Amino acid sequence: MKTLRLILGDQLNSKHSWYKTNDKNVQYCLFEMRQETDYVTHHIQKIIGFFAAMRAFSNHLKENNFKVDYYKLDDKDNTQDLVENLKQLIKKHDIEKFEYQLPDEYRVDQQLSEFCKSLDIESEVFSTEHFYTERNDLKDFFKGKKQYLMENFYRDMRKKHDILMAGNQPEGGKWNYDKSNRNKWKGEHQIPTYKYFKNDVSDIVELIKNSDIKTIGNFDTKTFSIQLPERKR
Amino acid sequence: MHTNEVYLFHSRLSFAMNVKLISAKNIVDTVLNYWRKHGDNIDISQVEGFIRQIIGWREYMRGMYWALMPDYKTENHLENNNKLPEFYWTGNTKMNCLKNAITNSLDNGYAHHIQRLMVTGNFALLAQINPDDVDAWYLGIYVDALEWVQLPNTRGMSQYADGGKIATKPYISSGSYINKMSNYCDNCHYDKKEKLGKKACPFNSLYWNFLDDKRSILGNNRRMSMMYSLLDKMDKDQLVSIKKRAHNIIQNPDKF
Repeated sequence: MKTLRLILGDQLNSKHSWYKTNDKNVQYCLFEMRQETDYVTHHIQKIIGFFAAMRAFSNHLKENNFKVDYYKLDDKDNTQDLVENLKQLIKKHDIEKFEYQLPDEYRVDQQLSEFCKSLDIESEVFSTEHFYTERNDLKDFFKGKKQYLMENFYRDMRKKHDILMAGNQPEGGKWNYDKSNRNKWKGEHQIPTYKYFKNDVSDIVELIKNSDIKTIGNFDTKTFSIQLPERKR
Repeated sequence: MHTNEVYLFHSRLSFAMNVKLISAKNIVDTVLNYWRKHGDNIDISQVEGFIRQIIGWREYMRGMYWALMPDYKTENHLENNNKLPEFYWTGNTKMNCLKNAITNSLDNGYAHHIQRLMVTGNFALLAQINPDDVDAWYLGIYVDALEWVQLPNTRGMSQYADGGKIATKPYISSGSYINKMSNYCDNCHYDKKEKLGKKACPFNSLYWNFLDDKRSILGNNRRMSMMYSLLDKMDKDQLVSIKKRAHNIIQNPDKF
């Protein structure tokens, strides 16, 4: 079945089960959009970071022989709207099924679930496989309780995932060592050297500066320091 | 917090995590493996504290977001309605802590937890700024900010606009706490010890004013009983003068 799979800018998980098989009937898509750059005034480094990471992720998929439609911000086909871009690709590729991963923003989640309701074709939504919990686990955990105490949820997580446990008890005898971590730094411990990565993002910086996207903050260097997925040679 | 250090001991993983380039489990497993091998050189409090942020707070904030949206986005339990000062966009202020935290944020798209909570967030709450304005700032300025994590942290933990669903009491403090946790006050125009007068640290005036203003809403909070008993012991005339200065700051924050 000809399937279109949407990857949002904050869903760059290359270990997702989607990528365990390479079906030639699956088309992936990612979009740089004004819908996302404009919903709030972003720091310019955030937009650069997102676009740089999305582009690297898309290239990583392409190099592993996945089929990807990537819309840069200034692509002539880019409608700047998520739903319109999807409709366009569904038509272009004769798509029979639409799939996406659960968005981590209410706004986008609503937009996509409304969109799916309007579709004539089948659709399916998947977990992002990034978090320890599923979206409604916490709501279920606190059902019927008067307070949403993080500490109770946290201890349950420690037990459930067997993290720092000694049988049924917390390792070290205490669940929470927060009180030991509250002192001012007086310079007595040396700060570790930071790891920096070099990525040339000058094309993205130019793209943003040539658009009328409103941004805040500074960006002075040509290199952007995040580690991006490695390119296979 | 320190004027010369942007990141201190923070991991700087938040952007990569929030776009899901790295998974939460990947990070936790790496830390646990290190702990198993080097248990003699590090303390469990270092390991547990870090892991608690990832499997505790991070998962919790996301779960709270989905449990409480969409209504959560409009909650304003403390009825704060003032505008965000212009200096949040420029760092242009004589208050050294805010100047540092904001300039840091503008230069790096990053500030660490205590800066976000006890400097910029603390001031916004004490100045009784509309939580919508505070949300828009936090969501925009930090490269790791996505609404699922930003909204519960800002509107909930920082601005107490949800009436205490996430935090047990408002995270407010006077200048002395900021001095205790940083070196910002050393070179500040204001005096952290003064409550009145032109050189008085604005946080001091705003702090007592806030407690007094919000008494009908917060007065019964058990975790605030010590703060309120201190307020009760204050000389009545002094409180009047403090409130006068606080109102001046709230009306003209960019002059400070």
